This record gives sequence, C-alpha cells and structure tokens, in this order.
Amino acid sequence: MPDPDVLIIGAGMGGGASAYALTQRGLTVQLLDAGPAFNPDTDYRLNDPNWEAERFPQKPGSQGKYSYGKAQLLDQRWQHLRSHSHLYGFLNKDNTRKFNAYNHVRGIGGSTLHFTGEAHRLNPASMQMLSQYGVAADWPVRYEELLPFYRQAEVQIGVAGLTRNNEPCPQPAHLPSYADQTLGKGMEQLGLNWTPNSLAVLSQPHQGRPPCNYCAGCNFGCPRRDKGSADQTFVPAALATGKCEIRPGLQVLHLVAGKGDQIDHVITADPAGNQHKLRASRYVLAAGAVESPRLLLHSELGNESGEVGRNFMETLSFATLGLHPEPLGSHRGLPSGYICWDFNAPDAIPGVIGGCRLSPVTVEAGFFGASIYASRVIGGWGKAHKQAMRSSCGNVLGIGGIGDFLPNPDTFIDLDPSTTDQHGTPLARINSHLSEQDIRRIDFIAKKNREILQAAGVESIFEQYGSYDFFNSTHVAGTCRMGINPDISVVNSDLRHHRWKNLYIADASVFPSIGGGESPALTIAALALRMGAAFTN
Amino acid sequence: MNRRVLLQRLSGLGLLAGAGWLFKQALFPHYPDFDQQATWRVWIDHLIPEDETPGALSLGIDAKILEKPEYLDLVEKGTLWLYKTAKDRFDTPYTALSESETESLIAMASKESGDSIPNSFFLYTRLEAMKLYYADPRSRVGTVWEQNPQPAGHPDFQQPCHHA
Ligand SMILES: Cc1cc2nc3c(=O)[nH]c(=O)nc-3n(C[C@H](O)[C@H](O)[C@H](O)COP(=O)(O)OP(=O)(O)OC[C@H]3O[C@@H](n4cnc5c(N)ncnc54)[C@H](O)[C@@H]3O)c2cc1C
Ligand code: SF4
Repeated sequence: MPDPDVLIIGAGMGGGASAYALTQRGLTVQLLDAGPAFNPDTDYRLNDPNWEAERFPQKPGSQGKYSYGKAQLLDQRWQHLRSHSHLYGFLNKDNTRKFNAYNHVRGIGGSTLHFTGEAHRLNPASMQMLSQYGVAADWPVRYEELLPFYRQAEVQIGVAGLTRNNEPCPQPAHLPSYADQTLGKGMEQLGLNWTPNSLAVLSQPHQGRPPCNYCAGCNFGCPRRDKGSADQTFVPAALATGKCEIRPGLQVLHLVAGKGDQIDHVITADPAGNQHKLRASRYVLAAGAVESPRLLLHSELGNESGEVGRNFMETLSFATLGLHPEPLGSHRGLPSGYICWDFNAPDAIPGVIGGCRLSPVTVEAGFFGASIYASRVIGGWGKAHKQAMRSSCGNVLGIGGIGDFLPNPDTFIDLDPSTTDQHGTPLARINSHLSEQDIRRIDFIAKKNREILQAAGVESIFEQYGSYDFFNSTHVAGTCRMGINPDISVVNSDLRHHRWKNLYIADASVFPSIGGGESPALTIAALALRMGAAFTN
Repeated sequence: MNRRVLLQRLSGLGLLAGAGWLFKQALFPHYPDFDQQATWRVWIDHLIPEDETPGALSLGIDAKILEKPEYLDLVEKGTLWLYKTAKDRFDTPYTALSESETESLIAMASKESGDSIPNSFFLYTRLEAMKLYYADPRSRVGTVWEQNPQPAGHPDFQQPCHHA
C-alpha cells in the first residue's frame, strides 16, 4: 500500500471511530495497534466449561506495562470507606492507598473488547465545570455541536435503551433482569429513578449481528458479536470501504518532527523488535489517556503547553455487595442493564462538586461464576460449604457508583525514570491522588449503595470495594486536554494539535472533564466522528 | 506471594491467580510416620468432600495443586503442621484422626493469626482448591452454573432463578 492519507495510532474506540469517519470521506487509512487482533469464535471462552478461569483472554502483547508513583496516605476519618471482605477483612491493610490496576486491553478494539458496553452521552452541565463551578476546564465544543455525532455513533454501533435524558436510542431498551427488577424495587422505595441504561448491546439484529441472549459475560469478550466493541462496529465498516488497512502488533515508538510544524514520520516496532518507518500526510493519535501522553513525552514533541500528561482523571468508584434471600440469578441479563442518573449533575450531591451515577455491579465485580462464589462469598469448607454454594449461587446483589474525578496537580502521567518496556521506551507512570471532594463523593456513593441494597431486601453485606484505598481504573481521561487557549491545552476543538498541524488526538485524553459517572466510549466515538467531519471540511 | 499481595489481587476484578509463594525451602527433620502425600489428600478431601457431587479428590484437585511449583513449600510446611499438631493434641497421625478431630484442626488453622503457616496454608490451599474444583463442570451439577454462559445465554433472565 502506498503511504496512506492518515495513519492512526491505536485501534480502540477512538482509533476505530476515526478510521470509520475518515474512510467514509474517501481518505485512505492505516490503523496500527500495539496489540493483537482477537477472534470472538476462537479467543473468547464463554462457551468453554472452564470459562471462569480467565476473565478476558490474554494474548501475547495484549497487556501494556506501566508503573506507579507515590501512594497517598489514608486518613482515619474515612476508615469506613476501606475495601473490606467478610472473609478476608480489610483488603488493603496498609496505611497508604494501593495501586491495583489500570484495566485495559491492547488490541484491535482496545479496551472496548472487554468493556461493559455502556454508551453514554455526557451531561451538558459537566462540560462547563470551570465556568459554572470553578473546577477542571470547559469543553471548547458545545453539547449541541456534539449531538449529531453522538446520534451517528449510536446508529453505527446499534445502541439500545434510553439516553441519560430519556431520549430513545436507535434500538429498543433491553428488559430488566430479575436482579435489576429487585434493585428497582429498592430504588422505588427510596424515591429514586431507575431507567434502562443506554448500551452498545443489540436488542435487535443489526448489520448482520444478532441480538443479545443475556449471558451477562460482556467483560469476558462477547462471542456472539452483539456487543458493540469497536472491532465489531467501526472497524469492519472502515474495512468495507476498501480504504483501510489494519496492522496489529505494531507499536509506535516515536513521532518524528519534520519541517513546518509537521510530523514527518513515525517509528514502529513489531513484536520481534524490528523497527519500521511509516509515513502519512496526517496522524491521529488514539492510544488512550495513559499511552498517548507517554508517546508524546517520549517523542519530546507536542508538549508546548506543559499540559501533556497533566489533568489525569481516573475512575472514582465504590461497589457494595450483599446476599439476597431470593434466587435472583444475578449472573444473568446484562452487567449494567439499568441505571440511576439522579445524582449525575455536577451539583447533585449535597456539599460536593461533581456528580455520580448508580448501577448494578454484581457481574462487573466478578460475581458471575461458581469459583468466585466459593472463594469470596461462601466461607467455610466441607459439606456445609457445598450446600451453601447450591442454595446461594446467583443470589449476590451488588450496586456501585462511579463519580466525577476533578483534575488535581498530583494526579498525572509522566515517564518512569527507571523502567522501560521491551523496546527501551520508558513506561508511563501513573500518579494518583484523591482530593477531599473526591473522597466525599465516594462517601456519598457508599451510603447510597447501602441504603439501596437494604431497601432491595439484601440481608447481609459481605464485601465493599472502592477507590478510597485502591487505584483501580477502567475509565481514564484528560491527559491531552482540548481547549481554545494553546497555553493551557494540547489540541483544539477539532482535536488538532495547537502547533503540529498534521497531528490529531482522538481518545479520552482530550476530555477537559470526565462527567458524573458517564462512561466515556460513546463520547470518544462522537469526538472522533466530529474530527473526521472537520478533517475534510 | 505474601498475604498482602494475595489480598490485593483478590480485591481486583479478577479471581485469585496463583503466584510464587516465597518461603525458602526448609529442611524438615525426618518423621518416620509422616506421610506427606496422604496428609495432603486427607486435607483436600476434608475441604471439599464427596456428597451428591464428586469430592475434590476424585476430580484430581490434590494433584493439580501440586503441579504448581509455587504451592510446594506451603504444602510441605502446612502438612507438617497438621502432622505435628495432630500428634500434640491427639497423639495420632493426622491421617488416622476421626472426622471430628480433623474438623477441629481445620477450624484451628482457619482461626490462627494472619501470617502464620497454618492460616496461610488454610487460606491459599482452600482458595486454590475451590477455584480448581469449581472450574470443573462435574462440580457444578445442581447449581445454576450447570450450563456454560454461552451458546444458550439466559433467555429466562427476567424470572427468578430456581436452582437446578
Ligand atoms: C472492564 C472495563 C469495562 C468498561 N466498561 C465501559 C463501558 O461500559 N462503557 C464505556 O464507555 N467505557 C467502558 N470502559 C472504558 C472504555 O473501554 C475505554 O474508555 C475506551 O475503550 C477507551 O478508548 P480509547 O480509544 O481512548 O483507548 P483504548 O481502548 O485504550 O485504545 C487504545 C489502543 O491504542 C493502542 N496503543 C497504545 N499505545 C500504542 C502505541 N504506542 N502504538 C500503537 N498502538 C498503541 C492500544 O493497544 C489500544 O488498543 C471500560 C473499561 C474497562 C477496563
Ligand atoms: S450479555 Fe449479550 S452482549 Fe454481553 S456477552 Fe452476553 S450475549 Fe454478548
């Protein structure tokens, strides 16, 4: 293939949607990813009797490496927010926060391969955090400007349900599972609204993909292909144009500057370490909010503002799990079929800036199979343990909240000064610190979780797990912020770099704020589609 | 793997993953009637005995754990503790204890202090045994997990789930 018009670095939601948008407009595209391609027929394991042994399959190159900065001291005042298990006691016994994981997948489809499929539009109020609340930054794009691209993304993916503001999605909403109905009763008792979630999971056939059959295993990789991960939606549509070439297993090591504030080429490495030079007219960086800043910092390029890597926003969450006396069968349905948006607005939590949402968490927290019940739910041994397994399996009910995370100076990505990957590139180092506001938001979620579980009939809470004492992120954003002012942002509203004219960034790193618990993938896609439109205008 | 690392992993979204137990190889004195293999098998059988479904021994869980090098030192130390404690308390080798005596030792191990040999032995071998045992579909007969999640899915997801 001759040099493409556009070289896209990273084939997750951002890269996949960019490839779709650009090929639809007649541009030729090479879509590179450091990770492998996954085949749902042969790689995913939900058909396998030993399906529980590994959550999402690991393949060579499907996990990146990263390191962590200094851990934050914990505070006696918030002792009740520590992660705890009825079988193992405090899960973090130290007096500092622990780094557990930045959960991600490298591969064609990126982290959408194992995502839950929530497809949320951002609350417009959360896009004006600086002007309205004096925190984070304002988006340089108005919600109304993004709306047509949200709708386009929802159609292409086949999103089902209701949007946050109750607008019907292209596909009918999924019906509530019995466990979601049970949580719904608790919500109703407390006067809270419980509505169908908007999900990248088909409720009707779409573009040759079948509807969901409610196995609840989305985080294990969907073998039916009805979950709208980027590899099943945007990438095939880009390939169908004949203008897209996919290149798995190629990690970009360097962006190399040319004349006139243009990127000249990139250096890539394959898994064997062979290096190649690749060239295009324009470059879209979509490596995710941890790896995009790493690549720019290592290339010593694009950080004129000093903002690359700063403003990192992690996932602020708290999950509470209990046993319900009824045979709920909570391993069935969708992991996050229903949702409560009542506290999502930035001013919805009393005394705290930044909102949250509440949704089922049973399956996402792993309570999906017999092994995990045997090791985390049912204590003891012997025949009594086996009997308890039979009578309690499927009865776990969990609720969780994801909340806003406000950028702060101690939460950022930089290059690890001492550790490199197999190609000699310094690892991204994750530095994380919770502010008082963040902890109070967690506190609010923890209280609501307990109230809801109790109202839903849960008799005993056996585990709670949250961000107060563990860094454990699935949604990450903010490290190459978009904005109008080049002194304090990295890209403009069309996602073009303020200085490097042929460099664009199309992943969650451009988010100026992360919202009150909205999942980011649909917004990443909408921004990429909007970038595609601006590209060719 | 020390207890902290284990708990940290446990608390993540995934299941426990086995990893290197970092005890140094110990040189045990030789006890003429200490049959380590037999002690280990009785322990596993007591953790997951046979009832309507097979016990852990008939699914080969004892051998599967010993195939993992990271468990060998722990099993060696734990079984030695079982042998010595049985001798001290009941003046009998562990393998010859009655049902209630065996039960009292497992209960004792479960209540020992967190980083002690008996408690670590109880915690980790129980976890690994449960994980391996319930990964075998023969263990799941009579539970809601008799079928794999796919290909059938759960078309009954809106109804209560009466156990098989
Ligand atoms: C368990 C879990 C559940 C989630 N559930 C949801 C959900 O329900 N809804 C939602 O909206 N979000 C969810 N998320 C988050 C969501 O998956 C991510 O926000 C989203 O996929 C990010 O997309 P991205 O394109 O920014 O980055 P990524 O998906 O991280 O994609 C980046 C890609 O770039 C590649 N790459 C990185 N560096 C290089 C390099 N140097 N050279 C070449 N390639 C490179 C990587 O291999 C990767 O494939 C979930 C995440 C997890 C972990
Ligand atoms: S619940 Fe539906 S979308 Fe999720 S893995 Fe199962 S079939 Fe796929």
